[in-house]
Amino acid sequence: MTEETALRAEGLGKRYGRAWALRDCTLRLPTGRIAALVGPNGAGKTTLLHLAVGLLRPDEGEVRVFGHDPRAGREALAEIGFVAQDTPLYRDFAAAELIKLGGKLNKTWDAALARERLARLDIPTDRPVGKLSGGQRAQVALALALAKRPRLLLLDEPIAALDPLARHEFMQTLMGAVSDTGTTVLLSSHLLADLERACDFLIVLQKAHVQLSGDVDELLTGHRTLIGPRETEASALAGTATVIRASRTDRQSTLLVRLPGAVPALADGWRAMEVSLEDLVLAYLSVGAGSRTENLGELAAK
Amino acid sequence: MIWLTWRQHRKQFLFTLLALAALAAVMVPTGLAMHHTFVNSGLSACLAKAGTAQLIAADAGGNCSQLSNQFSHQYSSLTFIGILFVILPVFVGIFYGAPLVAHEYEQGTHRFVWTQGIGRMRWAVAKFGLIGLVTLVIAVVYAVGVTWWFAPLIASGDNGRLNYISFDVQGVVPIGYTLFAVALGVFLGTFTRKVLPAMGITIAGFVVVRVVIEWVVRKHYLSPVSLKLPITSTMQYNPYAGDWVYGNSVVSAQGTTLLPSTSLQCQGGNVVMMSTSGSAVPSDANPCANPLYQGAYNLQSYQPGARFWDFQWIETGVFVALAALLVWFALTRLRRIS
Repeated sequence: MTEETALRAEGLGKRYGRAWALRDCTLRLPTGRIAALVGPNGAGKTTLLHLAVGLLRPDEGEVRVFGHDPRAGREALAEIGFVAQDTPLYRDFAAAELIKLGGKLNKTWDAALARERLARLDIPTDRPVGKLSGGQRAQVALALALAKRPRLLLLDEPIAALDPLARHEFMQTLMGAVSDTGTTVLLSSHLLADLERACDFLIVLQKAHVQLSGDVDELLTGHRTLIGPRETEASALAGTATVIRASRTDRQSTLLVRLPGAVPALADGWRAMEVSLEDLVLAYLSVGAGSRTENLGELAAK
Repeated sequence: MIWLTWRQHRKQFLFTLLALAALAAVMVPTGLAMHHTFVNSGLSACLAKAGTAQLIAADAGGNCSQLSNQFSHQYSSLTFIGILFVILPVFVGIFYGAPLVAHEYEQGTHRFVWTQGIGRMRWAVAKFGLIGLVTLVIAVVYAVGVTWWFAPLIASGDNGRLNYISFDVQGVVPIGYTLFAVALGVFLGTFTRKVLPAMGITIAGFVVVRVVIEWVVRKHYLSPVSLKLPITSTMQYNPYAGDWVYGNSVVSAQGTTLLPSTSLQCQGGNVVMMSTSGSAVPSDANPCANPLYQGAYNLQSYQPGARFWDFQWIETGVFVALAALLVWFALTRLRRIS
C-alpha cells in the first residue's frame, strides 16, 4: 500500500433484524480518488456510507476513515463531509443560518467559501432552504459539506432526485470543488451513467455484497468480451479467464471474462473486444442477482 | 449549540411565554381577589387563631367553618383550575421532551447534525442540558405562581395541603414532575423515532407513574403518627392543622378496636358526635352508655401537616431521580443506536 488509504473496510457487516444489509464488505479506497458506489436500490449503499460516517454501528468487521474508527471519537467526523440522501437540512433555516450553524458545530469551517459558492450559483441565502428547489438544496448541502474542508467527501445519491440539468450542474460543481483540493470522494448512485465520466474508482454493490471494486482503468483492461463459435467455447477459454457473464445463441457465444493477465492468444474464430464500464457493471450485477458464485472472494478485488 | 437550540426552539419559547402570560392573566386577578377575600372576610385571622396544634378546644374554631364554607362556595369554580395545574407538567413533557430526538429522526436531520464535527454525544448532552434548563425555569415560574394562587383555597378547606391534588400543585413537586415528563419524552423519542407516538406514550407513561406514586408509594415515605383522644374529651382534632389523616378508629381502654373507621365524642353518657367513614355500623344505639366504652379513645393515624416540606422534598427527589435515570438511558441509547 503505497497510497494512503482514505476509507478501509474489513469484513464489514450490518444487520437489520435477521437480514444483512451489508456483509463481508472488504475494500480499500485510496486517497485522491473519485469513487462511484453503484448498485440497485436496497443493495446496501446507504448502509455502507452510514457505517463510514458513524451513523451506524457495524455488527461485524470494522471500518476506518484515515485510520480512525468513526464511532470512537470525533477525529473521523472532522475529516468527513457527508451529504445524506435527500439532503436533509433544517428546512426552516436559511442557507446563511446553516452556514453559521456549521461554524458552531465544526472546528474547521470555511464560511466564506460556502457563501461564495452559493453566491456564484445565485442561490439565495436568506430564504428558508425548504423553499428552495431540490437542485438548489442539494447545492446548499454540498456547500456545507465542503465548508468543513473534509479530506473525504461522502455523498449518498446526491443527484437521484434532481432533473438532468441540475444533475449536470451538481456534478460540475462537485468536480470543480474537489479537483483543486485533492479531496477523496465516494458517491453512490443507482445509475452509473451519472458518474461514469467523473469517476476513476468503482465499487459495485449487489444484495449486501461487494461484487467488484477497483481502479476503473485497471478494471477495464482486466476484462474483455470474447465472441466466438459456441462449439469451441470450452477450448477457447481453457485456463485463461473467469467467465462473469455468458450469453449464447445457437451458434455463437458472447462471454464477458475477467483476464488473469494480458489478453491471451485466442482460438480460431474468436475475437476479444474491450468492455465499457456499463457492460462491466451490468455483468457483475447480474452475477449478484442470481445465486452468488463461489469465487466471490476473487471477484471482490482488493 | 446554544445558538442552535435557540434557533430551533425560539417559536416554542414564544408560545410558552404566551401560554404563561395567558395563565397569569387569569391567575393574577383571581388570585388577588381570593387573597383579598381571604383576609377581609376574617377567615385568615380565624384560621390563625385556630392554629396548627393537633388538638383544639371544641369551640376554638369559632366561626371558621362558616367562613370557610362561604369562601369555598364563592371560589369553588376555581378549584377546577387546580386540575389544570396537575397536567401542566405533561404539556411541557410532550412539547419540549418528546420531539427533541424524535423530530430529528422524523425529518432525517439527525444525519446532518450528528455528522458535524461536534459528534452526536456532545450534541445530545448540550441539547438535553439546555432544554432541561429551560423547562426548569418554566417549572419554577408556574410552581411559584400556582403555590401563591392556591394558598387561600387550600388553607380555607379542611382537607389539608398534604392531600391529593393540593399537594401536587404547590411547593417544589411540580418542578420534579416537569423534569420527569421532559426526560420521559426525550427517552421515548429515542425509541419511537416519531414525534406523535412519543407524545402519546409520554402522556400514558406520565399518568401511570404519577398515579402509582400518588396512590401507592407516597403514603409510605414516612411512617404515620398516632394520636389518642379520649371519647369523653372536650377537645377535638384540629381540622385546620393540615394533617393528612389515614384513618380513625375507636379503641377500648384495653386496646381492642371497637369501631373501625369511626370517630366518637361523648358527653354525659350521650353521643355528641359520631362519624363513620366505613361500612361498620355500631351495634349499640348509644355506645357512650355502653360499659365497654369506659375509658375508650379515638385513635387517629395521620401525617402531621408540618411534614408538608418533608413530603415535598422526598417526592421531588423521587421524580428528579427518575428523570436523571431516563436521561442516562436516553444517552446510552443514543450512543448505541444504529
